Amino acid sequence: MKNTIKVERAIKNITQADLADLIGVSRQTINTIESNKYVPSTVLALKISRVFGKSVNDIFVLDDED
Amino acid sequence: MKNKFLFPSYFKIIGCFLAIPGFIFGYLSVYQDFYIKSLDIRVGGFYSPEINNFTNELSLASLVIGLLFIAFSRLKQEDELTAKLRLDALHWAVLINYILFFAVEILFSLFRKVGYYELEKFVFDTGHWNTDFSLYNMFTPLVIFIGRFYYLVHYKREAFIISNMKYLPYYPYRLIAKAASLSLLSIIILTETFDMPLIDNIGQWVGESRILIPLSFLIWVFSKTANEDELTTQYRLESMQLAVYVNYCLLLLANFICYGFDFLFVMGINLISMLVFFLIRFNYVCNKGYWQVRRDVKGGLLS
Repeated sequence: MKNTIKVERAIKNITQADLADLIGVSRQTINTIESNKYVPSTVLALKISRVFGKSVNDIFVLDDED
Repeated sequence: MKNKFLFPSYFKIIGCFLAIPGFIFGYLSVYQDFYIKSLDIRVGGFYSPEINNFTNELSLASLVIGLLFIAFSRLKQEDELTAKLRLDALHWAVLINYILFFAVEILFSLFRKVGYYELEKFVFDTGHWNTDFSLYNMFTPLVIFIGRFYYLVHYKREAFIISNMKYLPYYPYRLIAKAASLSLLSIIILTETFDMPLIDNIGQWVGESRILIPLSFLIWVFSKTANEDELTTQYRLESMQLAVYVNYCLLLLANFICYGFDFLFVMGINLISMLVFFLIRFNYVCNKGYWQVRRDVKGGLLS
């Protein structure tokens, strides 16, 4: 699974730490998700997409491997 | 994945204050014959001496409780990923601990065959490596876990290290391991209860090779179920944590109830008890879901 969190953060101009604070996880968790090493739970994905005001499908995209 | 069974984060400090003295006093009482005189307490036991000194019992308890607190207290920012890392690390620690146990067991029984008793004495002061290793086995899973977990969380400053546990395929491992574990266990139970010469011989052989039963249970635990998915993985991780808790609670209880010869028996059981608790809980939650679905299908909810 791929995601566009990095791009969305740049648009909204917030850091990983800011995003982490907004949804109540650690900064390292955001980093690990951004680098596509960890697939977040549906709850976390929904929280992330709510911060950016978009739907989950716009931020998380299935990969060819999935 | 939310982790429900954790201590508050300040328990980590309490844990250090319990574990370090526990380790020092434990070491002194096992290897240097050190004991605190006021801990002599009269106990009436079948096999045990009339008076038992509780220095080593107390230090083991303090060490194990301390390590449990360090291992299972919350991080400052605990979230679903740290919960996953914690539970993965726990599986990893249990696996590595058993692999180390098997390696030492095989190595030293080979040495024993060749006759290197000096080496054995050199590595384990007392020269009873069977008991020594069972003793270490009571807290090494926790130590390995703590090391692994803090490595995953703190080794890189920016991100966590993700490790995905690999499990053996269902076929043929789980099937064979299941059959082997259950039959070996029933042989041991039969040997202990009845007096049958044929089974006695097999039972003695199984009991003496201390690897056989733990190995078959280990393979059972670390092989996939027929249809392993996200949910079963979560059940797996939770069950292992519960198994660790239950196992250590019973161990601490036994620590104060059984002494001397009885406690050797407890240490022997301890070689497989954690795996057995895991299997009971894991199979229970997996099958509970299965029967629920069966009922729903019958009731027409899913058709």
